[in-house]
Amino acid sequence: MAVQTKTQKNMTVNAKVCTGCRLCELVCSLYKEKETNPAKARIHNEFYLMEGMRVPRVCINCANPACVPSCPIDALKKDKETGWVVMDTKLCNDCQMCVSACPYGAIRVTPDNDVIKCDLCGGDPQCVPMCETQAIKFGERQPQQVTHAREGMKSFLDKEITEA
Amino acid sequence: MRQIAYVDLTNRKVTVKPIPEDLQRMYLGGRGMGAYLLYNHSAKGIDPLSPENPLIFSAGFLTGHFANAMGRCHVTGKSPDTGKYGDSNFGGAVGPELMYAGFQHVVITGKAAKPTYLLIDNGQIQFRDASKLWGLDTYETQLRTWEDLQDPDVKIACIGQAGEKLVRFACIRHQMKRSAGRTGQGAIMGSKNLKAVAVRGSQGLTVKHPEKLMEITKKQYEYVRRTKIFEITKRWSNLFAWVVNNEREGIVVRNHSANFFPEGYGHIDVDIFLDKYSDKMLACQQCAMHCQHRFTIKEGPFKGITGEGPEWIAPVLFGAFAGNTEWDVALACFEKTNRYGIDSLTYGVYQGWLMDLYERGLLSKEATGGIPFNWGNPEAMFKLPDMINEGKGLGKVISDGSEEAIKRLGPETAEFLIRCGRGLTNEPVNDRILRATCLGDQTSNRGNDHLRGRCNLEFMGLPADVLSKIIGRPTNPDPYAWDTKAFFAIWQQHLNTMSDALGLCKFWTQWFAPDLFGFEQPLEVINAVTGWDMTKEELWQASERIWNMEKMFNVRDGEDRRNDTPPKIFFEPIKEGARKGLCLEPDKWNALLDEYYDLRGWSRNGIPKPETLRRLKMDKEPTHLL
Repeated sequence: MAVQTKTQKNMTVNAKVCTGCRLCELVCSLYKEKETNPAKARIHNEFYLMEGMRVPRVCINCANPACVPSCPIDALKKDKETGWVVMDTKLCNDCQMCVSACPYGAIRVTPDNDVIKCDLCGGDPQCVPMCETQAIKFGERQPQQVTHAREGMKSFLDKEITEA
Repeated sequence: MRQIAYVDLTNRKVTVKPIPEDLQRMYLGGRGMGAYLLYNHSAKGIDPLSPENPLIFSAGFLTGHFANAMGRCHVTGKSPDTGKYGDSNFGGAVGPELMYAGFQHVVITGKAAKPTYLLIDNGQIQFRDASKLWGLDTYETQLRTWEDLQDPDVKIACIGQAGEKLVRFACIRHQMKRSAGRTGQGAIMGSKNLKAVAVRGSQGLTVKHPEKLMEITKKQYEYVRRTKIFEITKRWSNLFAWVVNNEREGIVVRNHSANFFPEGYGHIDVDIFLDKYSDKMLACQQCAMHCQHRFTIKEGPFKGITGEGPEWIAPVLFGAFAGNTEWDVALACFEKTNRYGIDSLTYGVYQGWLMDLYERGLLSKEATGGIPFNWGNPEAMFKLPDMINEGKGLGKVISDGSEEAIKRLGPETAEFLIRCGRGLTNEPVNDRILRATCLGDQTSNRGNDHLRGRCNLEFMGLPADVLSKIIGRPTNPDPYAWDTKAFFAIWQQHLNTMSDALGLCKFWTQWFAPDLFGFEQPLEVINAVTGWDMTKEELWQASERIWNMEKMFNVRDGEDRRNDTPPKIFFEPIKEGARKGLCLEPDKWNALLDEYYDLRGWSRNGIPKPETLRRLKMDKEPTHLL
């Protein structure tokens, strides 16, 4: 368990209010890649027709991230200071182990097979102000953060699995 | 690079061509390039349901870019409903995905030997077997296609059973609600044995000035989300227009027998929909306004029916126009037409017409299959879409277009089916009381149309100086006044043409509210994306060129002034209510139409003059450059 030394800020997700506009994907790719391309965005919006759900998938910097131990070359670390899961993009060899490990589908593979992950734009996530319904928020890490995120994202996944 | 794919379904061949930059500047994309391609790829007098009629999917010029509400896609093809210019615009995610797949336009000609769907996948186009999809409704088609491709991220535009059966008002549907509705584009798809177009793309769109685009889009977003109309739309969708238009007697009730529907109060109110039916709001791609209701009927005989929409025209057509006061019935019928892939607007007009005929004794009980078509009878309303689906009874009667329907039911029924000069069923709005709106609507190239010429600013009670500043010329804000209205209508038509060509939703423009986008805001985005130095005048001229291109398509098929004439009922005085006695006066209407033609540079018979075409650099069309 990461020890919190001071106030940490983090991303929260509430899929229930997501409208599926994908402005988060577009601003992300334009900011990071200088082109408009959802396939290269660090956030992804999943679409469910009959359920009427739109689910944002983005790293929520888990307290105990599953991706970190999955990395065979230690390119992923949990930063004690910020609480963020940080990817060393120079070290990363795109093996995709973390992609499989992440329960939220938050780490993505681009069409060029690069593994990409949200880095919160260094503390000023570009997507958050573009989210009209506040389905994604950036604020003080809450103790129930993971539970909350599970309600927003995982509960829907669970439903999908049981009903499949 | 912006490209066009030409798909020949007969020979299963695909050709790809890049779009030269000068043509991009002339016709932009979406509706503009759609008009150019249709004019250049069809001959005079072709049968809309023949393999020669091209079906053109066009992403807007800015569709897919990081720009507000630029997510729309246009479909163009000669209309099976009217035999005139046909096109329709829809939101959702197909347009952007087309751009990410490498194509701004897909021109589909020919006819597949068996049911087929197209997979447009990152620059490649595959012809895939759709025999298992044939006969499925629009929701099922999308689910099964995802299954077939093992990829739920594919974006699909498809037809339901109505399109397969060549119902002349079949639409093309994407997701649950997004549809290219009017003018029967779904029937063209059906005539080509084309069940669906599935799109998948991961190619990025290059931007000339990324930082500038980022700044502009964020600025525009922050501005629009602080407007009142944004707050209203994200809560009510455009359902608020149902209340507004009912109160101001701007709708039509029981097939044009009244303009106000007091019976609906306390039953088919917007707030009842919000409390009892609406679950949440969803959005098209790239739009923060999220105006799409997701609804469930939670109790009663229709319990469990889920759908998306409705917009304000649904409570009008399935409520007031059909004399029905219950949300349950309206929503259940609306959802049914969505599933079958029927354009609910055109369909609703027929439904009201049949009920009117029954009430007048012009339709026997045998003709209706034993079902009483009384006003608001839920049984009739619920069975009619099924009859269309089965190709039986009254369903068959209305499926083959208005002329055919009148022929089958007798000439005495014609006067009760209100159609505009181009043969399209008139929208259930009381346009005769508004001058610019009536002119703008009735002169639309695809037939009477609120999305082309409706001048919403006309009846908002704006001060004269505010309205004049928006339009750019002195404009009289009195909706009943006849002066200055010809230019108002042209301004509105050009603004809407520009939106459709760029892929911009009209809910973000001054079509919808005075404090939203005019020409300047999209222009900023165009220049940031392309690095051009386009001016407002050039953008205005591009819109004018597109409008004239559509007009030339109709003129080639022999259209003239007569086709710009409103339905006869508009010249008859309103019988009751606050606007009793008002109507279009024929001489004033004709003077207005003359003024409109003069301003457009057309002859008094409504034909673009050679010098106008030269000025717009389109006198050599068809040039077959693409």
